[in-house]
Amino acid sequence: MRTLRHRTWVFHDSMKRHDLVTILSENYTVQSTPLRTCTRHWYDTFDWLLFRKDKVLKREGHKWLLVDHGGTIIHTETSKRVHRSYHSFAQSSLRQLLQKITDIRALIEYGKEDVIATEVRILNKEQKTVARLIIEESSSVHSDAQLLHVTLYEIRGYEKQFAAVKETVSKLGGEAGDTQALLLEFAMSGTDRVPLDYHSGYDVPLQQSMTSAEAVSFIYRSLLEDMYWNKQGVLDDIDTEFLHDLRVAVRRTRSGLTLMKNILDRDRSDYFKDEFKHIGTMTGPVRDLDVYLLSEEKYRNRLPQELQEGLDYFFDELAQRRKTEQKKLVRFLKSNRYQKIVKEWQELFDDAKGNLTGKKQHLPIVDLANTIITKRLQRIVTDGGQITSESPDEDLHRLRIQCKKLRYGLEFFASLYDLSTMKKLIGRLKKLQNNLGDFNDLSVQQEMLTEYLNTLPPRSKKSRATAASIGGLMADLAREHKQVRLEFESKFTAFTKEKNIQLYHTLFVAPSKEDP
Amino acid sequence: MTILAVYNIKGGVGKTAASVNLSYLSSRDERRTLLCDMDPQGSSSYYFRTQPKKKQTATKLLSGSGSIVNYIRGTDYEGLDILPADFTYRNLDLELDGYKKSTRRIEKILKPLKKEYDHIFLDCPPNITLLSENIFQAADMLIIPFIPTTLSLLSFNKLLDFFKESGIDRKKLYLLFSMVQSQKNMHTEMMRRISKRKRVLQHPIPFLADVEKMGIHRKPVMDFAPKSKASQAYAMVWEEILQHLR
Repeated sequence: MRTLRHRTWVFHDSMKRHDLVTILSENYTVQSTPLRTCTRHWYDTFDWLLFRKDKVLKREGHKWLLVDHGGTIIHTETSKRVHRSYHSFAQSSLRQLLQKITDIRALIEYGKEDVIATEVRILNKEQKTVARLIIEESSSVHSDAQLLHVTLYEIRGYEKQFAAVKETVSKLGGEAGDTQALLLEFAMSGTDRVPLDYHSGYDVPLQQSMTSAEAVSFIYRSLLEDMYWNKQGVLDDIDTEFLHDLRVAVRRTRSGLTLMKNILDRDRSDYFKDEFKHIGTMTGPVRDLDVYLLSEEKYRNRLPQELQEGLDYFFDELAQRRKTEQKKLVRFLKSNRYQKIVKEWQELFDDAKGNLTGKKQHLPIVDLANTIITKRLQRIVTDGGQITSESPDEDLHRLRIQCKKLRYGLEFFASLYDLSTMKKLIGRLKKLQNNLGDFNDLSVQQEMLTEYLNTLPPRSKKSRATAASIGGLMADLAREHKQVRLEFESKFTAFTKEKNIQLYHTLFVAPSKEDP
Repeated sequence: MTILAVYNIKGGVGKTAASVNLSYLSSRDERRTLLCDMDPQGSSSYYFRTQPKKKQTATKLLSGSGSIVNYIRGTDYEGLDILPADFTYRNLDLELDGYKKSTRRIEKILKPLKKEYDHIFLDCPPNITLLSENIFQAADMLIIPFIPTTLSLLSFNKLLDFFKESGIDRKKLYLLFSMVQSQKNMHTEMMRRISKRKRVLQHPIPFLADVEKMGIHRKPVMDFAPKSKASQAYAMVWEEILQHLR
């Protein structure tokens, strides 16, 4: 059966509710329902995951609606809770879809509008409704902006009448189409956010003509912006991704300082390396705990039912510990030291040319990129080639760091080259990184659990249950650790295949002034 | 999808009022609902102010030329559609007779609507005919509006016999006390006698002026008199039906 059509229009200042009703009643027999008022709230994640999928989430009273940008309602749910993430929704198709799109990100209220709505029914001779219009007059709560939103709904079996009313309204000069995005923007007017203003992930487009100093300050500035963007979310502890994104920006900055040497003078570079390392250290404990807490379900799946009870104690304690660490983290982010690092770093790039005095500041960025990537690749090929099944774990951990540097290098400079080739290279590197990353994570987890075992008070019933669970976990982790180690060789061989290495050589030693 | 047919051998027992009000309540519960007006008199269609499309005839409906969905119209209520009656439906019996497996034709026609609706109500014409038999086969539940009198009981027993003879599951049959006048001893006595049987809905629909007024307003009673006794009675019956459907 055909889905019923609807059509939406937005009028900014040109039209008022009663003007439109008058126009309609001049052309048709109409019946209006009494006015209805409500406040409408708009939600999305910090990085606009819903908006990116052409969807908006709104709440009118207790009614939650997931709607596509064209205005079609996908799912609704009535619930008295004000949901902060997909998690608290009832087990429903709405929850499922939200989970798929927003995952661990929190739902943030972005906008709010007061709505006065009326329904206008178009009637035929029999006084039967043959088309319906919902006319909404909205005032943004954050500004004094006003807007008229009109939706025309088709009624099955009355196609001609729908077409006629559509034509009448279309002539009035409203904006038609994906009006939900416009409405969201309207509800947000007066706030300091706009849709799609932030996204998680690295995207700093460099230009071939840039000098190293220009490119590097561009990169550092946008990483610094990421730190600014995410700081408040960490302080308010909205979801775990704020801290994650902040730490990634710090790590990328540190990596940049190591990779792109001699753009800053050495003293400055060393100073900031230390300071950013300090930020990394201070923000580490909460992130480590987040990683454990986020994988609670995975841990549980590793153990039989009888050993689950001990895990309850374990995770309760981790959650408790996180609270303490979060307080320390907040103190640090508000500390003079953090403010000072960020401020000095910011000032360094406010007047880029004057401050970047390293030897290589004038080098074209393409040349610098070619050198860095070639060198990083060589290092991985050599170091990795020496690893045998007898090599100590340390060697693999070192190789992991090498791969990370190459990865950051590829990402920093990706915009200078053919993007699809760069994606391919990054994809292949990622497979090796996943193996090394898993190996490292499993080592760290085992160490952490051993340490944790040592802190358990002896002879309590609770400790016994916890120890049993931890023991079970460690056995399972050790088994997987061994497995991942065995897989290293094949992953490394795949990465160093002739075809892949050749691709690096053609892409990164090419003359710097020509397009690759 | 559940098919609920509202049927009685006799006319004038509150069949259309029940079809209109119950289908309205179903849609108000956010269940996608279709009301098929199978009675050529078209009373349900009249209540919802709908007319069939000109091309809609019994022949076309049965032959499946032009899918049934093309004849469906939206009512004034969200989630409630109607298949309006056409006067040519008076020939439905003759038409049905020409088909193989002629007692299963209606079931087949409704099949494409399975995914579209949660509840399909059939407002059936009176008499036992080939069309009624088709409806008995297709329905998951047959609601029999029943004025509690001796004659009604006689005709209900005839219906039971018919079900037995044709091998149709009698458990589909549900009695709904209709147009009940509690001041009449015969009504109360009859209700007392029957209400202990299985599949007798316990909430009656009283004889009320508001139900009669549906013809003037051309609306379900809940729309123009939401707080009336009539509205309350239908709401209670609907709750009870839902419990049986679960």
